[in-house]
Amino acid sequence: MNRNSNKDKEDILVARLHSGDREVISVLYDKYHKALFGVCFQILKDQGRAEDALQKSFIKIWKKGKNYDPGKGRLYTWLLNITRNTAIDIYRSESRNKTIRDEEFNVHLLEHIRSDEINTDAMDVNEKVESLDQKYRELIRLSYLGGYTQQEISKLLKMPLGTVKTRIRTAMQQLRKIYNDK
Amino acid sequence: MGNASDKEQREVECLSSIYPEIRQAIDDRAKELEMIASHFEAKPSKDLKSGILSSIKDMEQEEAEETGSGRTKVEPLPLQQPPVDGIKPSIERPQSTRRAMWIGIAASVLLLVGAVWVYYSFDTRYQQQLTALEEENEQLEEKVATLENNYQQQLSELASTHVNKVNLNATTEGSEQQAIVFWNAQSQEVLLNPTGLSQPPEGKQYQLWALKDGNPIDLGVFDPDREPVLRKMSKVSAPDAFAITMEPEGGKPQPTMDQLQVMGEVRG
Repeated sequence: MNRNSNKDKEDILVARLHSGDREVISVLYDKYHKALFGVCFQILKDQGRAEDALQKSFIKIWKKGKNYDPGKGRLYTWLLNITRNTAIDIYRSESRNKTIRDEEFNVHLLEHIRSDEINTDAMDVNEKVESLDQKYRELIRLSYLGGYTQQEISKLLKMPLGTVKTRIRTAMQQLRKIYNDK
Repeated sequence: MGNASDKEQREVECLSSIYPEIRQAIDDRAKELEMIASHFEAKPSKDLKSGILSSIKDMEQEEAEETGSGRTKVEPLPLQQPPVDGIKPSIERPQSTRRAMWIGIAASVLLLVGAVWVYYSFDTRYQQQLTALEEENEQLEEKVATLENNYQQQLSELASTHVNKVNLNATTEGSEQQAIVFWNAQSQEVLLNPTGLSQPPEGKQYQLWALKDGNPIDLGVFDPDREPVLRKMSKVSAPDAFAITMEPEGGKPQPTMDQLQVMGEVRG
């Protein structure tokens, strides 16, 4: 499969999304649900709540599909952003019940995402997750899924900014190696 | 991207259209995010997909009903039950659920108000009881203090070296009547222990006398069972003896000598 045919396929998906075609959700689900669910799970740390988040995300994707602009970013990125924001919103609304003030929320979410208590019984953990060093895993989770800047991570983990930068870079190199830079 | 606000995002989008470097950085970041997402892949339940699709279908139908007919909107139909088991309920709540929610909230508020009212009424009642008990307790404490005070006072009076103990013995053969008088030569106070006297008949009372130079001095009437062990009688100076007679209720100015019960001399 060459890049062009991939591009064509994505164009078709986008066109169907724009037209409000319900069936396109089925295609998008098959193609992306594992990655999107992984994002939900990393943020919510609970199979059931992550499934709720994924359901909510796909409903949003269907509703907002007409407004998606391919010129502003790839479809996959757009899907990831919607899903991640939905999961963080759910986490935030649950935390609000625990009366956590807004300033504390970031620390709270950080602690939550940091903790690596993945319930392996409840899910089919991807083996690839284990292939990445724990200290790198935490950092890329924070910066890419938690949406923290490197400065914030440095401050919150009490780790020098240089170390944060180096480690994230190393983590990305490791990942590229795992995926053969595809 | 990330936690940026919509405004920030629009700014970045605007800048990226001008500067290809920014565009490139955003694309790189997007690719990294995609790679990370692939890295953390996980599998949800198998039936999640059909649940999502059917709730989207339901929403599509609802929208079609709302926009389709020009009629005024009636109560929306309840959502169709999804055909597959274990499907998540639709995110959108039907009207009836919302109404139930409001009823629930109203009921909770009423319950809360009721609970508060019950709490306060009970609180007031207990407060009143508590106040009454506190008052009662205070009165008892006062009483105890008075008694304690009297007791100490009487003890000190009895223990004084100025006190003469006078045993009053029966004056008639076979009578077991007796009483004790404590007379303080200094303060001239008279304390009487009447417990050895029998109960007088109806309409009668005992009367205590002091005899001085052959003349009786009235020291007061008393009832043996109603008085404390030591009863304070009228003061008298330098008596020769004490005597008790039985008199009609209220006593008499002069003793009825044939009703003399007990008598005792003050030893000087």
